[in-house]
Amino acid sequence: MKHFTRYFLIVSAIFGLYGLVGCGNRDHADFAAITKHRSLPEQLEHITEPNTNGGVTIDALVAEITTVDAIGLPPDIQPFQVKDRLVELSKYPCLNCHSKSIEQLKIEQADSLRNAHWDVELNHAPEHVMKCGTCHNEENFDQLKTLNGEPVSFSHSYLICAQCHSQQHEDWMIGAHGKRLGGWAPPRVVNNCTHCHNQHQPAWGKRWPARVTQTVH
Amino acid sequence: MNAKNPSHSMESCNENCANTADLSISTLIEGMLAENILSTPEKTERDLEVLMERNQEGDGWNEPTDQVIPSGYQQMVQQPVNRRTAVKIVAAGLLAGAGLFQTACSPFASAEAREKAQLNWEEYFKGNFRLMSDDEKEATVARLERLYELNTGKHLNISAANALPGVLYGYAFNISKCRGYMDCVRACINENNQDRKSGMQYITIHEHKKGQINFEHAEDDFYHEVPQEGHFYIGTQCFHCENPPCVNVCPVKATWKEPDGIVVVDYDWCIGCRYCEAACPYDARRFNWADPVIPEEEVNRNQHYLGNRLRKKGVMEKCTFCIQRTRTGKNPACVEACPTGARIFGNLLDPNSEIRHVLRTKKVFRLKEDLGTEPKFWYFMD
Ligand code: SF4
Ligand code: SF4
Repeated sequence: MKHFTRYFLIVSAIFGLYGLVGCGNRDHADFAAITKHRSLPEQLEHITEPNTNGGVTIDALVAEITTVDAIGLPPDIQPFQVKDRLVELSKYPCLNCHSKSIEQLKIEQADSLRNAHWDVELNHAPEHVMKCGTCHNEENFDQLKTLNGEPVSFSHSYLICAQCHSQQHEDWMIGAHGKRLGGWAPPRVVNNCTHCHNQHQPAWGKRWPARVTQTVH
Repeated sequence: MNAKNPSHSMESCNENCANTADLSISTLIEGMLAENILSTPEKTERDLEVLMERNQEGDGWNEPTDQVIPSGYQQMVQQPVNRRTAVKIVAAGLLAGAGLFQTACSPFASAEAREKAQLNWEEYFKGNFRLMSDDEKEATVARLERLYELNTGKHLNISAANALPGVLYGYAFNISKCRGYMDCVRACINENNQDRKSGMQYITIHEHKKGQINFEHAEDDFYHEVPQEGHFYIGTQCFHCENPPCVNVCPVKATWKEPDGIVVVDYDWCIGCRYCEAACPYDARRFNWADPVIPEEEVNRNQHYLGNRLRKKGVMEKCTFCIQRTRTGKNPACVEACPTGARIFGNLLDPNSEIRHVLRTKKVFRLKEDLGTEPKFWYFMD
């Protein structure tokens, strides 16, 4: 038994020494072996240095799009651009008509066949939750307003939506919700909420698929 | 054309053929041996090492390589062989190409027919794309463009762009957003010049009953208004596995993973054995049982050698993450076409990319993760 212990000690000492020396020489190879057996997501977690994306940009692809810089971003979110909404509003500036009170406009339009916003049907939330004035600034119709009455430009209407849809807004800021324009390379330009959703009836409808699949193997 | 190595162009032929009415293959082989086209055992060994090295998975993404790349001609005859076997291989190739060769050399053929034959001849003897030098890549796309022009009178724009450094492509698919509209499928077919006759499509949208994810019971051939009550939709396509089983089984190394992670097929090197189709656990590969049919006016002329260039009968193809688009910074056609924003694409090596944000903040999963294929295609929910 005594002998056995002695042998055991000697043998383990030799192996230990070998291991030490071996490690010294194979440091690099071992690291490569370890990383090789990590899963891809684990490897990606260790990649944190800023990346230039091979120097590719999509400047030319987004050059035609009018954009505004996204505002109200938390410090850990990279700045990005939002396709401008204001430039698309055909009836803007709203004050062209809305310098008069709604009551006055109603009287003036009583004889016309259809009213100016005939195509707007509000189907967003129950009536006791939302009405026009929940989002539109009735003091100044050229703007929107927050629930607190702070004015917001139509260009940044995502701030209005974010008040209730905070999870969607968070996802939109990081790119998990919404639609990126141009491509994957910088600069990052995304749609405003209202480019995909009709703000007055935000739910998406049914439609026919763009294609009939025929499974072929 | 602008073949780099004059000995494998027609120049030697023009000299030799002028006074040899009947083509003598043995003379040609002698000539090739004399001009040192056949590789030496040392060179062969080095070339093979390059191939093996490139086959090693996961050893650093996208580091630029300055290895000497053997010419396509060398590859063709680069098996570790003695002279006699080499001669046999060349002879077999020459027999097959003799028809082209004769047209190319014939003093009776028209200039155009001769040019065509010469281009076909050079194409016939080109190497595996992965082993081509940049000059050879440019030369082969130039030949393909010219051949198409000679055949149809139409111009193509074929790219041979290499992978961008520091880029590894990844994809995320939001199951809560997909509504089965299939705009992605249509865009993919148009972008990638897929066979209209067989109805080939790289993307499948599976309609699942709520309460289960079972691809056996999913409906793939639906045509009704979508989304259908009580159902949800999951799209599949090639996942560009980081550890792709399809690549390992290819007997001729016609399919491989590019440094930016895109798994590609060299349509001119593929022998159509379909091993890769059997090896893919995700039903991602598509085979051309017949010559693909695409109306001439619908052909997408912006192409990439490894991407949407026109295929032929008997070769394998599949999603390439729209390599012709993505290497220029664009999104794949499916991502661009999806109206719901369910599809997210980007650079996995950029910690600020959208795809990395999704991987960090969402609960993601991949299909058949236990196989260890490491797909670069994640699913997530809102
Ligand atoms: S999904 Fe299939 S075809 Fe695509 S890389 Fe993985 S194994 Fe290969
Ligand atoms: S079908 Fe083509 S790509 Fe697939 S394994 Fe066979 S030769 Fe390789």
